[in-house]
Amino acid sequence: MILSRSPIDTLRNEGCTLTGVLSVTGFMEDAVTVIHGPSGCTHHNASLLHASLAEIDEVHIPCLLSSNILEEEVIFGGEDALLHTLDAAEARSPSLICVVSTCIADTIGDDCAALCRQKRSMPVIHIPGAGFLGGGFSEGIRNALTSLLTLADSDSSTHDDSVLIVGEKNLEYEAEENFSEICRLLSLLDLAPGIRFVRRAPVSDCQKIGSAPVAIMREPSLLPVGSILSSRFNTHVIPGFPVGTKGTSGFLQKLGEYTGIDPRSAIHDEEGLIADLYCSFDDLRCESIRLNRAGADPATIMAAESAINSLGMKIRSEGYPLPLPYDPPIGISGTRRMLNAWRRCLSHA
Amino acid sequence: MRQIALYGKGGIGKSTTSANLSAAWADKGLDVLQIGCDPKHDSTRMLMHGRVIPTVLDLLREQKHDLIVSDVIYTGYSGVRCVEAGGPEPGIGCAGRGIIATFQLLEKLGALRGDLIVYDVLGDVVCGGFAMPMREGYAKEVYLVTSGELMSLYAANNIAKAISRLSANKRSQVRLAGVIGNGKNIECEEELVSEFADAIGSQMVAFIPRSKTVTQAELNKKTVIDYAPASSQAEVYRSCADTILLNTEFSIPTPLSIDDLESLAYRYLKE
Repeated sequence: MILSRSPIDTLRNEGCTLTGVLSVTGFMEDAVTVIHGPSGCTHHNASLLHASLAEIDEVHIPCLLSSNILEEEVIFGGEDALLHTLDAAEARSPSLICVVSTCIADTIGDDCAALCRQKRSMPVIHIPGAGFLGGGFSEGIRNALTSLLTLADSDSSTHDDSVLIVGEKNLEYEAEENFSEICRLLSLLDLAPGIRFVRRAPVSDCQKIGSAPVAIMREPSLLPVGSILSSRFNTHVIPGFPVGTKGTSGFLQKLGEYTGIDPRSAIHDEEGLIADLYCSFDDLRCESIRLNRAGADPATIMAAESAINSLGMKIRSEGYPLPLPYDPPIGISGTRRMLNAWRRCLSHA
Repeated sequence: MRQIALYGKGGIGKSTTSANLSAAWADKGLDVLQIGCDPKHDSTRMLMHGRVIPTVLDLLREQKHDLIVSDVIYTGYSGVRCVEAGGPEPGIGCAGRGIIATFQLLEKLGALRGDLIVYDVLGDVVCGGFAMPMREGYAKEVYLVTSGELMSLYAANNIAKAISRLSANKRSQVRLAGVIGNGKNIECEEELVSEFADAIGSQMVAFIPRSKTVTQAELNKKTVIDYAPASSQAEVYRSCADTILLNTEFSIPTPLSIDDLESLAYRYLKE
């Protein structure tokens, strides 16, 4: 029995495991996702995805199908309902069908994995998505990526020079800005991003996962996915996007180590850019502030305190309250967005 | 109207006991409804002279919302009205939810009426669905059917735990009404079951000795009351039925710890 409990408040609980799974499978361009559960699980999440994507001006809504479990299926088993939905999904001729099991399906013990193993004209993978098993949004992302890794060609021994990006947070507002920051850092070493696993990627990309020599995880919670990459393909794994300005040097150092490129020049250039960044926010120097730490990610707090120290800002109990970003600021661009937000706040002080 | 539930370990003789009690009460002129709450749907088979009646859940699946009382209730021996909840095939689905759906339908149809309703429930309270007969508005009296075998006593003790837990709800009226010993030819079995009943704060209302007449009756697809009404075994069932009708001693049980239960069983093994 799984006893790990999700937080009971909503401060840092980013949603259901199912939503986490859909934030990945919904971004496979030619896949269909079947949600094995009551229709509400699908419609509620479709609504969430619609709202989140609209916020970032994204009009493409993922294709989700529900097995539409009702009380009859709960009592007599929902496997027939899933088979019918798989037939409907297959009729759409996607390159991949992702089957996500919900709380109800796992409670009544439907053998989703066995049904997914039945031969069809395209691969069908099972992804555990039941929130009652103690996970949350991040667990869902991990489950989805882990299941998608089963599509990777096992004999993918030809390494190319591109860098694999793993587990981007597709629903976060700054997803593209964060990716651009990674591209900028890679370019300092004359490297280029390769497959984005998974952000607007075709299913065929999953087969080529093993070809990248280095993989960058979006955040350390994805390290179990990185471990699979390491053990299957000898991929070097960087555990997360660099947080704040302090993270970028270490990030470049690791990249250099894994690719055999001397990073010293890149690190020197980066330190210059960081100095320029703080110069451009010189007006914040010596401001008396305090941080609203409630529910904040510890990495965010560390990045914020680093910026505060670099700018010589003063943390005081009577200081002006400053907000912290929900996700840790990534590199220079993330830090700049955080400082801009602070500047806007202080202009109202 | 009295509502009575019989619980006990699988295979201990709940359905045999329930069917014979229902038959005995019906012979007294009482209007009895027996509801089999087990996916294997064989509670009422002897009352129906071997006929396997359609289950509520199968009917619900086939006819959806158009069911009427006569679709789900079948009249058996001496006018006993019989219902089988049914359930999923072994290894799939949720039988407990099936019990809940059955009760909801019977309520909706106004079928829960008569002088006596007898709920014959699957071996143990394996999930909330199988506690449904004990919940508010249904059986207020629960009888535990057990032999002197340790596993049977263990199951009975578990059900006592469920009753105790449900009784904590102020609105709950469910109580343990007694223990029915169903003999398996174990030495000092009657004394053991009786002591167990006392130990959990209840009473043994009857001890039904093992008898070939039961097997013979079942091979002839009848209850003992129907097949051999003059037999001593039929008299045992009639006596048990009378005792239950007169019984007013209902309690909130105090289930035993596993150690105490084992000590009790071990003591009788040694003696």
